[in-house]
This record gives sequence, C-alpha cells and structure tokens, in this order.
Amino acid sequence: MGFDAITNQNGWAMALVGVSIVFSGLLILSLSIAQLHKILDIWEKKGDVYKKIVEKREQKAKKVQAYKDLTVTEWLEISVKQFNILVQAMDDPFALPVLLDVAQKRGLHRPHSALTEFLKIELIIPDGNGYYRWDKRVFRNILKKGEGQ
Amino acid sequence: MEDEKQVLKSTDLFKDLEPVELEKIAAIMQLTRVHEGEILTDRKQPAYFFYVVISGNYMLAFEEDRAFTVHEEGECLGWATLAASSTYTATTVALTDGEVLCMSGQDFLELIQINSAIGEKLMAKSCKLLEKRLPFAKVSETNNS
Repeated sequence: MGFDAITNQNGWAMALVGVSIVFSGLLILSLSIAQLHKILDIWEKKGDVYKKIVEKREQKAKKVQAYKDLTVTEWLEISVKQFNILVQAMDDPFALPVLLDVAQKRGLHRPHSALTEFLKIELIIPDGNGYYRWDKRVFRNILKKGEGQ
Repeated sequence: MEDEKQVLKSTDLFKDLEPVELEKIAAIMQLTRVHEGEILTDRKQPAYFFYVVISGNYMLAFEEDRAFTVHEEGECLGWATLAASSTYTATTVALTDGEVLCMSGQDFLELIQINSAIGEKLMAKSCKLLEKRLPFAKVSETNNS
C-alpha cells in the first residue's frame, strides 16, 4: 500500500513522464506566444511581403531573360577574361572602385562599360556592404556561351 | 521640358510636390549629357551640383572603397548639395554615357529661400531617402570622429 504500491506500478516514472509532457507543452506554448508578434507583423504587412515575393520573381525572370539575350561579343569575352585575372588578385569581396582603377591603369578597353555589363548580367554581385563578389559560375557560363556563338 | 518634369515627378524626392512647385524646380534644372568615365561628384570636394538621373549607369564610391551603383531613371546624385556649405560624401563616376538633370546648390538655396514650402517638403523627404545610404555614410562618420 501507499508509496510501495506506487513504486511497484512504476508510478514515479509515470508521474515524471507526465510532468515532463505538461512542462514541454507549456514551454512550446509560451515560445509560440512569444513569437506571435512576428506572425502578426507578417499578417499586417502581407501586402509588402507579397510585393517583395513578386519583385524577387520579376528580378529572377529578368536575370534569366538578360542571360538569354546576352550576346557574347569578342570585346565582352576578352573583357571578362581580363577582369577575371584582375579579380583573382584581389580580396573577396573586392572593392569596385579599386577594380575600376586597376583596370584603367592596365589600359583595359572601356573598363566602365565592361563593369556595367558585368553588373547587368550579375557576373559582379554586390555583397550588401558596399563590396562586390565575382560569380565564377556566371563567368564559366559566359565563356561556354561565347564558345557556342 | 515636359519630359523632364515627368522624370522629376517620378523621383521619390519630388513626387509630393505640387505641379506649380515642380515647375519651379524644373526651371532651375538643366539637361546635361554625361560621358563614360566622367566624374560628376568628387568626394571631400565642395558640393556645388545636384543631379537627377535621366539615363546611364553610375558608380558612387565612398570611404574605404565601398561603393554602390545606380542604374534607374529618377535616382538622385550629389545629395550633399542640398545641405549648404557641405562637401560631397561620394565620388560619382559615369559608367556609361547618359543624361542627367543638373541643379546648382546656389539656385536651390535661392529657390527655398523664396518658397519655404518647397524647402520644407524636400528637406523632410531627403532625410528619409538619405537613410538608405546611411550604411555607407556611417563609415565616413566613424572615421571622421
């Protein structure tokens, strides 16, 4: 009887499991309530969120189209190869003004226009902190496309 | 002139202005052709001109060689001009040939002295818009202090 019966029937273990389940439930519930404001924020700004999703889709479609429309001219191909050599010698991410300066000093043909093209086709992509990265995948694709044209 | 007014109306800075006010701004702006490689603003040099992009691509270089590029019609360059006795915080280089609407800081000051309503609207708006460029400006602020 009493405590012995509880021990014999695994009562302590069951009580412990029960307490754990209840406290886990409460913990999950409190965490959910703590994050509720974020869900409400998203709900309130659903128009903005939708707009951002649409913008992202449009940007992606634009990028795909820009790549499809891209004609790899001899100048572009040479520029891409020349800039690739310069970028390899720089930090990652690199500073765009420094790249332009180096390209000008090396006497590359129309470096300003080349940078504009690279930004357009996202061979050069901003890192969000004012510096830029060289997308090697795009670089290889351009060379491949150049060979095919 | 009408096209230029349309571009001004499309900019975040000028979109809230009344047609009459917009007319006054357009009257002090000049359409200027820009050539590839041309420097529009020189960092740390006195800010004399403010530009609105009509066409072309531009790179703005800040301290520590941070930079961003501008490609859209209606974007503004040379903001420091709107604050009197100031120097440019960025060097702006034209990456391609293009066109800009150019306004001198002196003309702008004269205009807002005569018409304070325009000045109030533009200053309130420019503060909000400049927040976008704060991450770049912060670097120079930290270095100067």
